Amino acid sequence: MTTATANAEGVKGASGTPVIQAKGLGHAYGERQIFENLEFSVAQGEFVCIVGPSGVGKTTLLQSLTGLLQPSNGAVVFEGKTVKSPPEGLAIVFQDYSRSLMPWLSVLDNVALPLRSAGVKKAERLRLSTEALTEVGLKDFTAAYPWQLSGGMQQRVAIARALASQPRAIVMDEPFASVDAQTRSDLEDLVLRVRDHLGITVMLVTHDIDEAVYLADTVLVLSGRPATVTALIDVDLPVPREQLATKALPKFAELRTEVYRLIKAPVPPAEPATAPSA
Amino acid sequence: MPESVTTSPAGAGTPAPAGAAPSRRRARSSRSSRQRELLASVGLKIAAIGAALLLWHWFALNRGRAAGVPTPARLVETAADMVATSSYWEAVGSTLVSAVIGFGLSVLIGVPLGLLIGTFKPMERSTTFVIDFGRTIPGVAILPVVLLLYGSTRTMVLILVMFSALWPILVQSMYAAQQLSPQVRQVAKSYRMDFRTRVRFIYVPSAMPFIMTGLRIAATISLLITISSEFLGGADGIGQRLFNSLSINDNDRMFVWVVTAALLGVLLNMLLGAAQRRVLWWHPSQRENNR
Repeated sequence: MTTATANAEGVKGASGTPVIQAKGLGHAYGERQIFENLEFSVAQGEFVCIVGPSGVGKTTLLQSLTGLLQPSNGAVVFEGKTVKSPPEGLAIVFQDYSRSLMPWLSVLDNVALPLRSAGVKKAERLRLSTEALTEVGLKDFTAAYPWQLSGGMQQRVAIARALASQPRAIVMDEPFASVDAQTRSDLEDLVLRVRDHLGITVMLVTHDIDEAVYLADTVLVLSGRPATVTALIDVDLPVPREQLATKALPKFAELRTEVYRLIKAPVPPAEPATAPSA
Repeated sequence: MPESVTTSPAGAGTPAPAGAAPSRRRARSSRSSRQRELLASVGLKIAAIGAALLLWHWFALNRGRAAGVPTPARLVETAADMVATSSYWEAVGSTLVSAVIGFGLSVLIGVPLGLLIGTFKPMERSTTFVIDFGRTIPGVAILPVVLLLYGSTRTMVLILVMFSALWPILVQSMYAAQQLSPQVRQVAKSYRMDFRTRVRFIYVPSAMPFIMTGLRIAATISLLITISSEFLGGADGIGQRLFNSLSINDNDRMFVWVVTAALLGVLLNMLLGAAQRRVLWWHPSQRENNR
């Protein structure tokens, strides 16, 4: 049985060294407190899904985690250093792939652009970008332009761009929210595969409970107003995950029910069975 | 049992969703159908020109006769004589030089200034009134003053051209500076891109669509104002020759100048269209050309 705890130490992973830590993190837009007093840490190589109802402040949280936004309270620590701006070693994949890729650059140039800025030599740039594109299965599309590709493929280009700089952690903001269901499952498996292959830490924001449970080692449930970490749930489903087999496990259903309940009612009801009988 | 999963992929390792083959920029899928399309469009263009010529001919023989409008045939005859003279080409050259210099100076001033104003909100707020005021004044309205100051010179023409062509470039460049989406800004920031990379690969390309629009509008205005100020202010060029022909009732020649001005306009538009396709081939408005 999984336990729902709002415990700050609820991390898993053999190594246990925290890569990303939120310390008393809070943010407010003017008078409106979005979230407050968030305490959690993400271990090396861990896959954490942040799930919560829409409007709960997931994107704001992600922006403060990555240093794109200065939080009003508390701090984010990445590899031991307080995050003030996007740190080296942390890459971000945005939700809106169509606007995060440059239409005037080829797939290869899009992927290589951050490397160019980092001063990586041309031959090395080419090697790293091609490697990253191979990782996402797009090595035959290097000369194409983003707008010639389907949505799923564009998002894979964005993932390759994140991978090209060889990050140690990757943060994804609802990366599959605007692709169709089939593509979505493909991309989920792709991200899992890449994570296993490269051993990077992943934080993924989603509003989709199934997706969160399917992907994560730990599901972080964000809810309430202002939002707090309602629960950190260990997902002890067998690996590697598989779309059909994993989702057919009773354990999977159990976990998603639990997450669902936590999102709907921040304080879990004492006797949940009584609710639907009416 | 949990409810069954409705959307389930065959396997984790399935390749990319098909479709969207990488049709490269210059690749042509079906050559023959494209050629047919091209032929049809050229045919329609010729038909439209033919219809316009017929209408003109009919008008010249009826109502237009009293006003001395030449028939197309007569016009071609006169034009053939005129283009053989160096005086014709001097006038055309003079007009072109004025228009190009005036346009070039407008670009040199308008683009950087517009980008600067557009980038900084306080600057935009403080200049809005001046810009809206300035661009509403018709260029010819200040002609008497400029003529008084500089006489019938090229300087007079250039000042008038710049006074008119600068505004669209300025305004479009201001918009251009604001075209950068917050999303792209975040991408640049999250990947710690340096200023040079941002300018070259992000800022400039994303500003180009609006700047190009400004340039196209301004180029046409430059030619128009050059000819008008030659006509009204007497500086050398097509406009002045037009005026001279008009004042001695030489209608045939006058219409050759009119047509010359029109042809220059068409040529200019074609050049700019080609430039736009070269610069903005990636833009949705140009993409149908690469399919």
